[in-house]
Amino acid sequence: MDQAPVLVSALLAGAVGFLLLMAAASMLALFKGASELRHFLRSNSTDYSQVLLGSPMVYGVSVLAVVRDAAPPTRERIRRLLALHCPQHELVLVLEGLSDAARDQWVEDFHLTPVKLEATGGGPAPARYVSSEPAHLTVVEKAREKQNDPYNAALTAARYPVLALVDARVEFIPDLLLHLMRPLLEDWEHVAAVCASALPPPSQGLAARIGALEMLRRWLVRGAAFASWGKLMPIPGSCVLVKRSAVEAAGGFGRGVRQLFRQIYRTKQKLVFLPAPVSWSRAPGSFADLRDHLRYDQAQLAGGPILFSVRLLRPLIESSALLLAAASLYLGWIHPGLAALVLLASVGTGIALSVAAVVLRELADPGTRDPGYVTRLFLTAIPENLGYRQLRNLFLIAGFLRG
Amino acid sequence: MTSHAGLAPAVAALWACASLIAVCVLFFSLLLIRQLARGKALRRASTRSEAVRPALREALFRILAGSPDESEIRRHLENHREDVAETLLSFHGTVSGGARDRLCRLALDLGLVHEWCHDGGSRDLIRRRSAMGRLAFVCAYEPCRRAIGDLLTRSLNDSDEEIRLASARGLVLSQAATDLEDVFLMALGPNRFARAVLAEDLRRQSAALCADVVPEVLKSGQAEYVKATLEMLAAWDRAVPLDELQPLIEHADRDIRIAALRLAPLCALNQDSRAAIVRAAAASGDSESSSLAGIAAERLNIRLKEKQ
Repeated sequence: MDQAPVLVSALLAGAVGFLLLMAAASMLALFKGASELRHFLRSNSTDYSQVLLGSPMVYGVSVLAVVRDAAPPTRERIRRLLALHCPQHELVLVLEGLSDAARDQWVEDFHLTPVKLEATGGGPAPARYVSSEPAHLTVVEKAREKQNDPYNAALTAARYPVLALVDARVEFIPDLLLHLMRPLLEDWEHVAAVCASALPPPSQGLAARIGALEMLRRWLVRGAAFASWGKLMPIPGSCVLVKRSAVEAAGGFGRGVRQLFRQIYRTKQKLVFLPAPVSWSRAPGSFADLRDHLRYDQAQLAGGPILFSVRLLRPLIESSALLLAAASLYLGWIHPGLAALVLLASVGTGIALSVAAVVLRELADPGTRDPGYVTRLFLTAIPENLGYRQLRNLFLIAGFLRG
Repeated sequence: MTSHAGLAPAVAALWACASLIAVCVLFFSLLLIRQLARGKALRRASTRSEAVRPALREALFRILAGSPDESEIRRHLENHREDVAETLLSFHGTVSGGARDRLCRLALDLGLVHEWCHDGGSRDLIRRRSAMGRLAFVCAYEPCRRAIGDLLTRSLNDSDEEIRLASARGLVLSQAATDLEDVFLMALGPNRFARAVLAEDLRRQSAALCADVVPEVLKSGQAEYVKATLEMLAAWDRAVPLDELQPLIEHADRDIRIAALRLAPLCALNQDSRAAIVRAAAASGDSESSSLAGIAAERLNIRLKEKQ
């Protein structure tokens, strides 16, 4: 029993060291991300969307979308995808696991006509429809099966050399495809995919601001910084334009976009991150929304050593260290200084990282946001790290364990 | 109760960590204050610009309509030089001919063109880009071209892609034959985006290009250049004065064959080329090629059965 305080102190010291190390790495990534963002904004130039819109040299794009219901917002989203601006584009829509009533709703709304296909391989061919509207819409109906299989079904029906994936929870501008197309056209030989994401517009409420801080850090680190290190990962609210040949070389969509990105990097092709305001995630309206966003983000990012340390190891060590420090302090096993150090390594570094993200973004792109909002965002770093962060750690651990 | 383990190091580490975090937060707070002040100044300048631009636009409309009165513009020139330039350039793409010349003359008279020429030599990339974009607009006007000299031609070798593109667009407007050739060759490079943008600008010069540089490139035998040329000619979507496409329709490279067949309906082809189309339509190996040949034959009124 006499050894317990020594052991606990050693464990806590180790946890503090780990947390400080993680914070230092995150700070470095924030600086790198801000520098990349600044570089992008400096090199941002004339908008050639209108020229590209009229050019037959722009490759055709197949936008792939999967729906699992026929709710009005879903149908509205599909209408918006059909109205994207591009010289040649089609929408390949997969209706996955829909009831007959829901399927009929789609058929009626989009004036779908069945297309007869010959069965290939062993099983029957999935039902396919085309729209009699002027829009280029192909619909594939299939039963619900394993993850990302619907995207492979869409790939089979797609006919253009470029594929677009638009996150289901994203807001986007009609010129989205034209903006994403430019980096591909500039270096078709070496660039395999372009991923665009921007921050959501300012919104009111603590949950929205905490959500904005999370998105800001993610955008700077996982987007801008990781892209420059050749490790880009999809971010919630992002849209991806990818060469069909790259998807086929990777053996289809496999286990998701992240897996696809890793395959692309393995073939020594480039992925470009476009931090332009062409698509962005909606800001969370409540804490329930915030948790939902977190869950969604985690579902997109299963596996990988970096995520293992950021999404499981750090939250686990941090939560355990805080609990252990509180219990040990209560039992009188550790000096209050060590308990304070644990708190500081968790909360203090969190605040420092959040304020750094806000300020670095302002440095990269000054004057574009309302000063009042920026100040409120800066101050939100305090409640974010004193309460929400600890809860978030528990959500992350639970989410990771649930798979 | 036991004694506290590692007391001294814990306190020392606490102080070090606390100081580090405090310094960090303080540093970022100060930086934020500075940035907010800077942002505020930028927003104030932007508000001032928004206030003055409608009046400037109004004055420019009058000048475009033929009014010789430049007093309103000159009145704002000292305090709102950048706004005058921006408003003037906002007419890019919306005016042409005499109206465009009036705007360019105004830019020259106000000393803006010389200022942009100076900025075009700047080492600051942003300033240089902005200047070259503006010069590309005004070089449609001959006196401006004289003021610009060979700056645009030299900028075709700039290290920045954006500047090269702006210079190329400006040179297309200047319509000098040697410059057109340089721009056309630039458009044939691997950057497909530049090709798409320049194809639109070069469309107006299609006749001059087809008389000289296009046949040369098509006969060069360099597959990538030939492919890019055929693609660009098809993108112009207008009648092309080329009659000899037979070697390309029967080229070993499939991409070249396809591109040539896409272009064929836009050309007045000779007998050999027409016969090549018939042969391509009859060939069964490549469905895309034969269907394109079929379309070309139909557009060119070639009767496939009779020829066969």
